[in-house]
Amino acid sequence: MKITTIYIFLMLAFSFYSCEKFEFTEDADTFYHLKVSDAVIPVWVKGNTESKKFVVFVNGGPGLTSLDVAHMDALGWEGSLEDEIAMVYYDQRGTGNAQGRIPQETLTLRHYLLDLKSVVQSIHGMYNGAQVFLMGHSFGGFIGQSFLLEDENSHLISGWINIDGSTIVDNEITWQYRHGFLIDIANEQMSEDSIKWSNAIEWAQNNNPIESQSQKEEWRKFIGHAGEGLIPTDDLNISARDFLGVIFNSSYNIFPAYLSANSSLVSYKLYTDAEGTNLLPLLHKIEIPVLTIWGKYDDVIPPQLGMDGFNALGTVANRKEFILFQESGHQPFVNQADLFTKKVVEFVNDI
Amino acid sequence: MKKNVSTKVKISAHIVGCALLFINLFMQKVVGQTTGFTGVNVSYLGEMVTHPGIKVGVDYGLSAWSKVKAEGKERERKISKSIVFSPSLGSFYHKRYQTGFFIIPELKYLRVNPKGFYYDLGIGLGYLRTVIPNVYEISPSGDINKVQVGYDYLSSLCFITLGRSINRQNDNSMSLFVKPQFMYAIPNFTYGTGYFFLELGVNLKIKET
Repeated sequence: MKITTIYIFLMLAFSFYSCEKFEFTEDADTFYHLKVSDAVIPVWVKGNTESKKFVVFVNGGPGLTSLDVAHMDALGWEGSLEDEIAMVYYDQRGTGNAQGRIPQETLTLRHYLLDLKSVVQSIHGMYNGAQVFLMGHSFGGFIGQSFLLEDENSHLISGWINIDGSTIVDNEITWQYRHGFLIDIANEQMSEDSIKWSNAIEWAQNNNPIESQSQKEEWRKFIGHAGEGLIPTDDLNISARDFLGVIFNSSYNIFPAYLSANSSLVSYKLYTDAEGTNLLPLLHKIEIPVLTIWGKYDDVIPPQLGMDGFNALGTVANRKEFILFQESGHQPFVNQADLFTKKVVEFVNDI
Repeated sequence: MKKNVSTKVKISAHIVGCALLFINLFMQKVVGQTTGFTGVNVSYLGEMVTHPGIKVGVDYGLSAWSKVKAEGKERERKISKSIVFSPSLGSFYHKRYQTGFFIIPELKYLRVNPKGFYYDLGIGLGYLRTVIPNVYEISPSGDINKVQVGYDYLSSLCFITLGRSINRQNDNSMSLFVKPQFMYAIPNFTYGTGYFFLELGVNLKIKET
């Protein structure tokens, strides 16, 4: 009983008194949680906090996770981006390592923006003098832009990095852009296979708009799938050892993170809440510096949509840049990792 | 929060005690004399195997019987079987996730062969308290305050144990066991939270069942 009492005391000591350091260093590894109403959001600061440049990564999905990706270094940022700047990863409410008795009614964009604001405010509060940037990918781009359009949030952010990020959550409009994407690709690839791509253009002319499932499947037959030819792979560089590391040697409990309906519920609820939203008419209100990176072969959110979003920004011309990665699809940080790191670091250091 | 934890622990202990008394009386009525306390368990409790914890429990025999199988002309093989009530308490530490404390009474069917190998199958129902480390909250004025956050759960458990006696010279034999188990704790988002534990321990038998 004495031994048990001592052990319980040690467990309490671990839980109550273990503390993380918020310091400026070249190889920070600081993990904490943020309580935002009913949600407990895990936040992980990694990399070069000494730079005083903090990039908050907003992952897409919706319903995907960040902390496991960071643990596995699946994006290869540990030896690249994190050497130059501090990356801030967090799991959005209801996903991954996030805890709390979250009512399903809070799976709305408004709450995700509140969570993001807490993350940003915590960085400003914990690291005096820090510059905080947002970097959103795919649906994370939609969250990031929505955040910048709300209240005074822009004042908290030094710069916005949009990586193939949504500005429209509207199936009908998105498929109009995908229709145009097919024509653009067909014209580009005509010299490679004139029969196929002539057929593609003829099909596109006879199928506008693309609405039915059979039309979408036909479109896909022309474009192909990621990793099968024209569209670069989406696969992350994850080994079995990496994955086992997440299961047995990370902050993750795999049951809520992977073996539950949480992520699919979050994806459904958040997408439903955002559906029909078109941010293009509002983007002129964003005036902070912006770097937009887009994969030329992004079949999910076509480059023209990215360009339209970029052109709609209120940022003055010499403070925003659109870069089309020529060998990339929906994940340029996977397909052209070195160039991605270079451009992000340049952008962040220029501000 | 500490006062609430203390109250809930007391309530749980009372529930365990009442359950023990009720089951003891029930089993006496149904199957006759119970066998009383039969052993103590102390074990390493690995949440997802690698996140360390400890678990202690006692075994209280509710009912015991044996089956004798004839093997050949002059040899017999005695299989001991019993129903055991085993209240336990434990904790685990999962770095950067949570620390957990639980009280779980378990009920198990135990089968022991003449060579000292045994297995049991069982379930449990009890209380789990988790504590999340390093939690901060942003106040409306923008201040960042450290806060204590934890949750209470009703937790259910199912397990299988494989063990072997290592000292069968006298009634106070010792055995080693491995016990994989799955816990499901409610309520939580969306419904509950699952946990896997691997328990590696020692059972010290007090008297034969």
